[in-house]
Amino acid sequence: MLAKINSFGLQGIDGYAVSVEIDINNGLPGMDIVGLPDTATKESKERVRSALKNSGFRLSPKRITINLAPADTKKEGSFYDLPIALGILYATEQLESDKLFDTVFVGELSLNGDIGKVNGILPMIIAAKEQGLKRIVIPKANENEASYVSGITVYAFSSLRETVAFLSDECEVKPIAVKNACSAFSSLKGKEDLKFVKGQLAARRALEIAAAGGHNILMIGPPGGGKTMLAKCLPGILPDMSADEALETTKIHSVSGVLSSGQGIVNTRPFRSPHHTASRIALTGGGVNAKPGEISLAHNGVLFLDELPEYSRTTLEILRQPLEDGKVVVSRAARTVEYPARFMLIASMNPCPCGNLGSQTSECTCTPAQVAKYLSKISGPLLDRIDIHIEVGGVTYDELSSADSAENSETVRDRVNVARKVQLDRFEGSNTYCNAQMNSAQLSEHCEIDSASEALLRRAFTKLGLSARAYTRILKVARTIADLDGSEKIEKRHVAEAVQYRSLDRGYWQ
Amino acid sequence: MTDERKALYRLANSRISVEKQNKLLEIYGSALELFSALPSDKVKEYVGKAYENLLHCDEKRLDEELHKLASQGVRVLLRGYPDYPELLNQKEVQPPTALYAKGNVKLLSKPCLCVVGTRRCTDYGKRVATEWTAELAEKFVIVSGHATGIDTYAVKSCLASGGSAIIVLACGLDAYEMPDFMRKADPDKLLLITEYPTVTRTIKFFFQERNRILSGLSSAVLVVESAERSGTLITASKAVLQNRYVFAVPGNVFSDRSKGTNALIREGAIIATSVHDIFEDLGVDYKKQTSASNSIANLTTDEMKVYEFLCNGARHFDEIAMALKMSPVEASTLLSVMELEGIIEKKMQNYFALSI
Repeated sequence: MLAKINSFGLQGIDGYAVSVEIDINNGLPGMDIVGLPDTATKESKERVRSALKNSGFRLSPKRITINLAPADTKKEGSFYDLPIALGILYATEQLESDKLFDTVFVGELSLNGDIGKVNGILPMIIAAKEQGLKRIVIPKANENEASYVSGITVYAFSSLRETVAFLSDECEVKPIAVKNACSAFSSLKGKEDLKFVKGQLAARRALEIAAAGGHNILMIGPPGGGKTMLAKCLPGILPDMSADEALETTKIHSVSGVLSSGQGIVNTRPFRSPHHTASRIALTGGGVNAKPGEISLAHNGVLFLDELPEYSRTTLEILRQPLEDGKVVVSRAARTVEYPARFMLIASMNPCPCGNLGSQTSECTCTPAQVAKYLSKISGPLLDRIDIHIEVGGVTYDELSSADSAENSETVRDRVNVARKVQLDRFEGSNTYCNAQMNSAQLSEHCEIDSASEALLRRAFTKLGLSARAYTRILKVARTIADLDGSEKIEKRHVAEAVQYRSLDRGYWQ
Repeated sequence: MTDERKALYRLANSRISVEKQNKLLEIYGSALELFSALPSDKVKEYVGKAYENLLHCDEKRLDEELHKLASQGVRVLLRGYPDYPELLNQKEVQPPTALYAKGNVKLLSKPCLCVVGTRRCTDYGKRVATEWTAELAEKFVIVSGHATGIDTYAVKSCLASGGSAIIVLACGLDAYEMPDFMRKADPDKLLLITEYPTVTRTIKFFFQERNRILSGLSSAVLVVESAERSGTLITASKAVLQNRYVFAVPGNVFSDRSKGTNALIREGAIIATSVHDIFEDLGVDYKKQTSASNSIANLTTDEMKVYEFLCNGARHFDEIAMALKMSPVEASTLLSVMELEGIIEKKMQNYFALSI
């Protein structure tokens, strides 16, 4: 008898329908899986065999052929254990159910018949819903992430036996309740709070502007100056995630398996800080299975690169395209997938190898050639994509020990939210979400400055030796400062402040 | 060979050390006398291997070389001739037999002052070098080895303020590439000079040798900033041997890069606390044209507060904002405007200071 069960596979961060066909013939006993299975999928037959036996079913000594259609797409992972087992039960007439054919099954079986967790459940459910399927059965361990999609009935089971009982109407099972993605926001819990950052007034302000306008930011300062601490505060002052953003990010995290079973949805902006030994593949994604990389995991959040010059140059250069396009296309022999990667880059570096260049208190021991070599590791095109450069100085003891606490993240975030709202309204209907993403047409439309500001800007260029690329950056940042200020027009004072955030363009760095 | 000039040039290119060249000239009186006394076993014993170079000489090639140099605008200054710098022609200096010069050689006859200092200078050193050289250049030709750091700031400031500079190289003239700011300067106010034949590449040892010419050309040496062991101190000690004035700028006792200058003062160098000290000690009449800086006249109240706060040195952004009870936004806007007006300067690591 032939069985045809619905299941799903993963391509990039999207699910696609796979139909699992099982046919039982006479012949030498054995089980064959066709349809380009990878090793994990091929080994499915051993798991299924044992799971069936240990769940109290029998496996007749016949020839079983399993086809995973479409047959020309590579199948990866252990998603198909459950549909294969159910298909065999149906084909061997041990299971009779009218639900079997309009339900999607995804799950890995363990030898004793338990259903184990798989990665990428969320994109599969979303895809199933979009294809108009009514029901999906998933592993119990994936229950949390599945509970944020409405429009499809989701059942979660922990064993094959339970599933069969449900299918043959032996017992009443309730689908898992749908939660509202928005209700799940747990704002600042577990995040570093700006109120613990002592001093660093200029850097705090720069961080606020960066958060408000979505600007990439580079912090330069001596070791121990608090760069990492400041960076960790950034997610806490970023604007709230919308439900769509949360689902998008969760999809990526679900596919790459970094979602813990307790955490259903990524409801706070991710903060990813890959170590500087990270390879190119680790950052952009790829590998044999074309998994999302760090920059995609940071989607809608923050990518923090500590000690920027320590990263290999090729690693940094590949960031250029994602920074521009907000996505990364990974091409491999077998497939080409596109991962979203709209993140905010926050990077930190020392001014020189010893870290004391320009310090008023300690002396730098580097030669000018060493400093030049160190700085040259960061290419112009990459710097070009970073709007704000800020120098983070050492904090004095007085500042560290001062009792009065600074503004907390909550207050700053409120201001950021207001400024973002202004931007969303401004760019409504376009593909732009924040000031940092403005294209040249939008720049000339929204960043008009009066003659006084123009004169000030011109003076800044001659006086401070700013490079040409600084021009648009300053305008964008000035736009954000004006938004924070609640001003419709960019005033001279906004431009004046924006000039302060171009440290690396200044003459003394080159 | 009859021409003394050619004889001197030939001696200079014989690869005999300067010290021995000077000794030979002292013994024989002139280069012509020396060559006419050849072959001589005494000379052979004294100069060793290089004796061959003295004996054999292709006069035609010599002529060609001199001609080529002349066509490139290189003047060859030979010892004992009037265009040879007078101060240099002293036994203590170990004067080179020949000097190659490119630029305005008349500068050599003017009073010269050498400004030296560390390559890795602090803001303090940079400021002294920049401010003082601008004034010193009004009365002196500034002599410099033109390393990075203090030397460069001194030369830059000298040329920018309309002064003249002599750069003493530690390599041949052809092996030297002039930086942009020099190329743009008035060619009449610049002289490159070296004792090494045109294409000689530099080696470490040449720098030490070169330093004796730096101080040799000058009537005084000003040491701006120097670490405990450095080429700067070599120049200073050569200057002492040559009976030149040595001025040292006192520095922070905790700073590595003031240890050298402070040690010099301890050993008897003249302490230089202002340009006037130097002028006074050298007996030069100089009055600074007091240009009342009108830039601070029309400052706003807030700007004045910042100005006063910064009078005692660089301050961090946070300190300024807190002292003036300003929000970071107001402070950065204000500082930005003041910086663009040229009243203050932003230093590294978010420090601000009054501009020089």
